[in-house]
Order: sequence, then structure tokens, then C-alpha cells
Amino acid sequence: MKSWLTTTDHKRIALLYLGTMTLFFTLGGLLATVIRVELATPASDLVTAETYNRLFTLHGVIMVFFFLIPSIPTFLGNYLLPLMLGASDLAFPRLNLASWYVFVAGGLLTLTAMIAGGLDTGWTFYTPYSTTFSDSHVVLAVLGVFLAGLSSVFTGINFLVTTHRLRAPGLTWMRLPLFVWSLYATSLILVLATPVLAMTLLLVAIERGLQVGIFDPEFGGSPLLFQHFFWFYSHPAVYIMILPGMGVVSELIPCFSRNRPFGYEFVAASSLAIAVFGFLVWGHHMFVAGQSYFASVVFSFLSFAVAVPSGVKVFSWLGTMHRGSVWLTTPMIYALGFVALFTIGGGTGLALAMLAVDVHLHDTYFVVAHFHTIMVGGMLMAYLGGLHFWWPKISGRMYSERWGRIAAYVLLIGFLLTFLPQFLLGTQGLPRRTASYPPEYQLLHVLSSAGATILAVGYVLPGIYLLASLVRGRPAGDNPWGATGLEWHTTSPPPPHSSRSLPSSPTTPTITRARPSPPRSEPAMSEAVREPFADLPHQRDAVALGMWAFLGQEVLFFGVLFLFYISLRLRHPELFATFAPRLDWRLATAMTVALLLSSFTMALAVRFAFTRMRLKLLLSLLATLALGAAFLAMKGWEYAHHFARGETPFVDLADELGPGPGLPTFFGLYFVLTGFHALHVIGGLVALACLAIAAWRTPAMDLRGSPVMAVGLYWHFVDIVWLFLFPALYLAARLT
Amino acid sequence: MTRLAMPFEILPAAASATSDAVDLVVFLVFAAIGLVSLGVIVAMVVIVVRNRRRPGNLTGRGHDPATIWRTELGWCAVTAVVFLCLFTLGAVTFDRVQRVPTSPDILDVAVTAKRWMWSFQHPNGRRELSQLHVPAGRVVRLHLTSEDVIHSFYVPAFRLKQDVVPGWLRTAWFRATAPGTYALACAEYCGTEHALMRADLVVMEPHNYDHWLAQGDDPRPPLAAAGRALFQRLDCGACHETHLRRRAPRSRASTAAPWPCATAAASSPTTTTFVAASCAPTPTSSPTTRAASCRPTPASSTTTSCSSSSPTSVRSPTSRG
Repeated sequence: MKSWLTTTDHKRIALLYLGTMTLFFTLGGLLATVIRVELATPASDLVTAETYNRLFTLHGVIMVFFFLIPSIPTFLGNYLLPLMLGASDLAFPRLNLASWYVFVAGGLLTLTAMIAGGLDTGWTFYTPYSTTFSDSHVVLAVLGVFLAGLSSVFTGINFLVTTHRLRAPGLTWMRLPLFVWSLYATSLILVLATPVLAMTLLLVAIERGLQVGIFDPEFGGSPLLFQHFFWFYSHPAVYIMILPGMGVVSELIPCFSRNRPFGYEFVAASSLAIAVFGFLVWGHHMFVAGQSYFASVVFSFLSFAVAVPSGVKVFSWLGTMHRGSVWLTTPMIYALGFVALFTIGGGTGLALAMLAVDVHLHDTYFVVAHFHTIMVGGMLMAYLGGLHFWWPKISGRMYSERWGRIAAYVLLIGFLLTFLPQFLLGTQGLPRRTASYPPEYQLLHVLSSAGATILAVGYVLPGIYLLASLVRGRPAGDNPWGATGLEWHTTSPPPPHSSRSLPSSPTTPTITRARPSPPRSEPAMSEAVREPFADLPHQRDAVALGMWAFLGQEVLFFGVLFLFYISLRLRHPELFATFAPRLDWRLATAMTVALLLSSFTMALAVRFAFTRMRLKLLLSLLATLALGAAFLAMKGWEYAHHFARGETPFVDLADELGPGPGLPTFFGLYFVLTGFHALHVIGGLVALACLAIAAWRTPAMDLRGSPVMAVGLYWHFVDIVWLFLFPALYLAARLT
Repeated sequence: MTRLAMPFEILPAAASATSDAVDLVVFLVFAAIGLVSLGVIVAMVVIVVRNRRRPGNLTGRGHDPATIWRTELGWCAVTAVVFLCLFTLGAVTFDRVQRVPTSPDILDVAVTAKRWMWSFQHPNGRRELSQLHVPAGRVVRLHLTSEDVIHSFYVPAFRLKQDVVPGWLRTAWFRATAPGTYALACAEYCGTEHALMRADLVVMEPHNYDHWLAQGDDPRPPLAAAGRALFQRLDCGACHETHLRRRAPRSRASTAAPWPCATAAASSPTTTTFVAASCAPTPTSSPTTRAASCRPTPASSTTTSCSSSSPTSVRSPTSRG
């Protein structure tokens, strides 16, 4: 038990994820069951409307954030990426374990919210309902989702660095498995989109506590700003869910067609293209929300553009099977089901991207049916296909092929019966998220509920025969499918650090791994080579890359705050004219000087770390610490000053002031922006203190760069953020 | 039998000047989706059957790189062209659907959404709740605002949907073609009774409408409906309905001042019962006042009566969970 909970082996962590996500999926599925039973009759008779709203919200939150988004990357990706790259583990194994713990913590918070009374905002958390009107446990749930997002970011950084830095010699980019390409594209989205959601949800939580006026129009906020932020993440999130699924299918179809992937370069590039376009289409969720005609047209056009790389994938799969030798095994049936349902789901997505059509279909059951076709029909089919494909590798056992095929067909039929009627419900104009509905829609709803019963059977079956295979299945052997991937060249299940024992074969890249065995339990500062790396420069390079990726997500994280600033400033310039002069620009100039100096001493510290000058390193670290602390002290004094003058976002508007945005709104902005920056400064100081302690204890011989360098990068970034905050807040009144 | 036949009507019967254009686009795009999906599925089945694993076909035969590049670029181009056409069609129709036509006799109606009902005000000041009467054949321009959260004005028969955002004024329009009663629903999830936030859109012959308009506010909504509306709006259910758990109105406000319904009912027993109660502007609700002041209709009398009522807020900002 303990060895599982403290493991840093990517394969064990993958299985931990599998277990956790299966629990969440079961829970989400049970919620869906109650929803479908309730919808069998027009009245809300099984559960009250209030309960119903909590059911569909939790179903959405759990399925999206705790199953669909992490599913393939954290389970199959974690398990297979190092195997496919010929690495012995992910680049940062301890970060990998940490991300699982963060994920579990997020899940527990969300479950706490559920048990404490639930959440009724819908998984979209639309404001001002979520910030002001809902009286369910929004803050708890939002923090849970925030943690799940943090876990995603960690995973994304790990995958990016691993793919860049731990490919086996000879494994060039153009020889990577297509699954790795799709994971790479997914990781890009995970790292660059998730921070936007994270910050947005934190702002929702903050606005629920204070009256800041971020999203609630009553205090000067903008509900549409929330929708922009939310969909900036949540549309790419759709590709986080579907891209790994496409990657799995791109592995299955060549394997079971006994053919090379048709148009490898195109399929690999289409993954990246989808990831990039995915960032530019969020506005198609807001065609009727009141964005400008021009914006709608642009977003509609870009949404159609995504169809081209998606089409490349579908047609290339067909091309792979053409002139192939198609072997209809269980995984292949899932793959074919994926191709069919993804085509339907994607096509109906185009109907929703069409401006005039979307006006009618938006927020109806058509949308529900569309995204379930992509998510359940597409992504889940691919997930199950991948699970059945790699199950022999993971467990070492074969499952019952007959039951596997039966379950696949049952799922396909159940799926079609559940969701095809919902397309019709949507075109007939039934809004989604309704506990009760006019009786004329009942027939279609009953059909859908009946289909859901079949679907449920289809989900239970694999659970039974896969578990049974662990006990009764015949040994699978190393390569039961005759597949060509690197992961099939090891035993089933692979031993820990399997790739070290991989044989080199003429068709696959050679793995050579000559490296000194690292001494264990070294002090933090000494730079021993850690597990997956071959040598020190290699590791140092990977740590720096990881930090750059992390800073990339920090840019987006603060980007949300600056967009909030811009939005407020454009809509309420009078706030800045009135209240910005109350900020003390002289004190802020002193803070700026302190931070700039600390950047300088930090740069010195990095220099001394590399040249192994222990005393000078220690001194420059202490100087950085002192300057950072001075900054915080001045910030604290400034905060105290504003609190003393009542310039806080805590004022009850109803008692103190007239309606509309005012002093609390401006100072809410001020405290939110500088507060998040101050938190980052505190984090940096903690890291600096750890470095200083390590430098004090460690002999000069072992002093080398990467931790100091990584902290240095982070520290410079925090200073740069301040260089934007300083003019934006303190000089605002003087610059207008 | 009629109920069995019903599901196969894909769209509800069209009843506005723009719905036919939208329907055409809908059918075109559905045809395109259907053709593409069917084509892919049929091609897949044919390919799988013809290339199935059997003696004599145990390994794939691959394709030569030139063919691959040609085909890949080929279908990129084809998809791009097809989808460009669909996009253009959608955008052009959208422009037509959204742009309010210039018409000499535009009827302006103010729409206020609130949890969980719709209220309307006609140019002569006549108000109604959960029912909207409009003349057929005339352009009706709606000015929509919300008093609390985001709602969405959705009339499936008109293929019309417009989000109603608190703090903003939105415009939408339609021209009904045939008299009848159509469903109006809220399409944006807005809380507990979102499913019940429906109203009847009654399209009348123009002379009937003029006659109806001249009647002045009738006792509609019936007393029970008005009571229910008030009960919901003031969140009485927070305490007086067992299955609900919402934040109750602030007790300080409710004891310090009389209920707005009491004030409003006392001051204007028949005509402004609902509106006065509903728009009681509180010190915390600026969108309400903003919305009231930008209403195109003579609402000044309403605002005065509102401002005299008590400062009770539906929300209680101090007791957030």
C-alpha cells in the first residue's frame, strides 16, 4: 500500500489514475442514471427541480474535469509515453506523483461540496448566477476544479519536457508514434489554456466572498467577460478530451489494418493544427450572447477552419484501412465506432458553428446531443479502445474477446438510441437543463432513457470481464496483437524501468543508456543526476525547459487579471480617474526599485552557483531574500494604510454607497491584482529560503546550477509582472 | 397516432418572416452533414469488408508517398471549399436574421426577464406577465434586459434566440406571419425553476391587437399567478417551502421596512401591481434602474412608484455561502 502511495514509477501512477477516474466515472454515470430516469416523465416528480439542477451540474463537473479531461493523458499517456519514447520514466517523476495527489485533493473538495449540499450552477459556472445568486457550494467546487486544473498543468509540463528531452537516440520527431504527437498537442493546450480557467474560477470564488465587481454587473463587472475567459479554456478543453482519443485511434487502426499510417505527416500536423485553432474559436459559444456581428463571423469562420484538420484525420484513417488487412478485434470495433461517431459529432458541430443555425439550436438538447456524441461517442470509445488494446500489456492477461465484442456493440447501439433522439429534441426547440418539460417531448425523452439503460449495461460489461481476466485470463505474451510500437518490445506487464532492458531491434530506434548510478538521499542542492536522465547537462536542460513551460502558463494566469483590468478600465474610466490617485506612487517606486535590485542579485546568484562560489552564492541569495522581504514589507504597510482608510472591497455597498461600481470595485481590482502578485513573491521567497539553507549546508563541490537557475527564472518573471502592475495601477491617473 | 408521428417533424412549424430562410439553411447543413457522415460510414464499411483479414490478405500493401500527398491535399481542399460555402451561407443568413428591418410601423416592446418569469410592456404602457400579445405581420422590436442573472429569450417557432444579460440592453426582432399561440422559453440556465420559465406568445390579427392594447391592463395575470410570481420573486420559498434551501432575504431589511408588495399593492391595486413590486430598485441593483431608464416606453411613472418602495433586495450580499 505504502509503496503504491509513494511510488514515482509512471506505470503505477497511471494505474492510480485509472482507479481514481473509474470511481469518478462511476459516480458521474450514477448521476446520469438518475437524470435519465427523472426525464422519462414530463413533470419533475422523481426529484425536485432543485435536486435535478444539482444532479446535472455534478454530472457535468465530475465527468468533464475528473474524467474526460484527465482520462487518456493521465492513464494511457502516463503509462505509455515513456515506453513509446524509450525513456525509463517521465522527466519529473515526483511532479507526476504530486499531480495525482493534487487531482485527488481536487476530487475530494468537489465531493465535499456535493455531500455538503451540492452545486447548482451547471458545469459552466455562468456569472452572475454563480457569483451572486446561487446558494450552493460554489467556492468549494470551484477550488476542487482549480486543483484538478493544477494537476493538468503539472501533467502537461511533464509530457512536454519528456517528449522534448527524453526521446531515445534515433527517435526523431518524424518517427514518433501518432499517439505521442496527439499527447504533445494536448499538453500544449493543457499548459496554455488551463491557467485561464484556474484564474477565472479563483476570481469567481473571490467575487463570491468580496464585492469586487469582476463578473457581476451590479458592481461594474461583466458577465460576458466570464464567458470569454471560460470558453477560452473550455473550448480548447474539448480538444484536450478528443485529441488523445484521436491519437489512440491513430495507433489502433494502423495496427489492426497491418498498414503504415496513411499520411503520417498530415495526421501529426493536424494534431498541432487542431490544438492551435482550438484556441481561436471560443466565441462560437457566444453567438447569441450579444457579441458583435463581426466577432461572430470571425469565430464562425475559424470554427469551420478546424474542420479541415479533423477531416484529414478521418480520411487518413480510411486511407490506412484501404489496401490494409483489417482485423476486427475488440479494440478495432471501438476504433471504427469512434470514426463513425466522431464524424457525426463533428458534423453536428458544424451546424452549431453556422451562425444562423446556431441561433435556433444554441442551448437546446441539440447541443447536449452534439457534445455527448463527441465526448461519449468519440472520446469514451477511444478510451475503451485504448484500454482494450493495451490491457494485455498492462495486466499481462487476455480478456474474453467474445465478451469484448458484445460489449462494444451494446455500447454502440445504446449510444445511438440515447443520443439520436436528443438531436431531435433540440431541433424541436427544447432548451437543455430543464427538470420538467412540455408533454409533447416525452416520447423522445423516453426513447433516450431506454437507450441509456442499454448504454449502462455496455459500461458495466467491460468492468466485469476485464476484472475477470486478471484472474482467469490466459497470459498475453509480449505482443499479442503483432503491433510494431516500442512499448510491445518489453514484457507484459513491463518491469519497473522497463525501457532499460528493451532489446534494440533494427526497425526501432536503439536505446543506449550508459550512465552512472546516482547516489540516493543527496541534499537538495547537490546536483546528482536523477532517475530518467542520462547525464547532468541533459537534466539541467530539462529542468530549464520545465520552468519555461511553467512560466508560459503563468503568463496566461496573469493574462486573465490584466484582461480584467483592461475590461474594467475601458468600461469605467471614471473609476480610475477618481480612485487611482489614492494609490501611493512614491512607495510603489520604492517597491519597483527593490524588485529590480533583487533581480540583479538573483542573476548574480545564478552566476555564482554555476561557478561554485559558495559564499558569494549564499550572500547574493540572502540579498535577494532581503530585497524581496523589503518589497513585501512595503506592500504590507500599503495594505494596512488602505485598510485604515476604509479603502477595501469589503464595504457593504447597500449600506455605505449608492448603486453601481465605486470605491470597492476599484480597490477590489487593486487588491486582487497586487494580492496575486504578492502571493507569487511569497512563493519565490520560500523557494529562495530553501536554496539558501541548502547552500549553507552543502559542500561547495556539489553546487551547480539547475535549481538556482529555475528559481531565478521564476523570480525574474515575478519582477516582470510587477513592471506591468506598477504603471497599470499606480501611474494610471497620471497617464490618462 | 398524432403523438407517434410528432417526433419526425424535425423543426417546429415556422411562424416568422425569417424562419423560412433559417429552415433552408438548416436543411442544407443537415443534408451536408448527413451526406458526409453517411459517405464516411459507408466507405468505412466497404473498405473494412473488402480488406478484411483473410488468407491471401494478411499484410497491408501500403500506398506510395505521391498518392498520399495528392489525396491528402485533395481532401483538404474539398473540405475547405465545402465548409467555406456553408460558413458563407450561415453568415449571410445570420445578418438577415439579426438586422432589424426598417419599417414605418415598428412595434417596440420592453422585455424584462427575472427569475423565473417574463414581463412585457407595450408602447402605451400596458404591461403583461408570462404572456406577450403581438400583432401578426408587424415588425416587433424587443428591448430586453434582465433583473438578475442571464436568461435567454427563445421562441422556437420563430427560430429566434437572444441572451438577456443583466446590466445590458439587448435588441431582437421578429415579424410573426400567422396568428396563434407560440411557446416562449428561457434557454439559458438561470436557477431552480429554469424549466418553468416559459410564457405564451400570442400572435393576433392587427385589429384584434389594437383592440386588446386599448383595453389597458386587464386583471391578468390571475391573482393566483401573481401571487405565485411574488412568492417566487421574494424568495418566500426559502423558508416556506420545505424542499427549497435558498438564502432568505435579509431579515433586517424585511423587518425595518414594509414589504414592497404591500406598498405597491396599497398604492396601485390593479394596474401596476406586478411591475411595481418587481422592479423595486434597491441601492444594490443598478441594472434595474439603468434598464428602467433606458426603456423606450413611458416608464417614468413606474420608476417613481418603485423608488418609493422599500429597499429590500432579493439578494442578500452579506450572507454568501
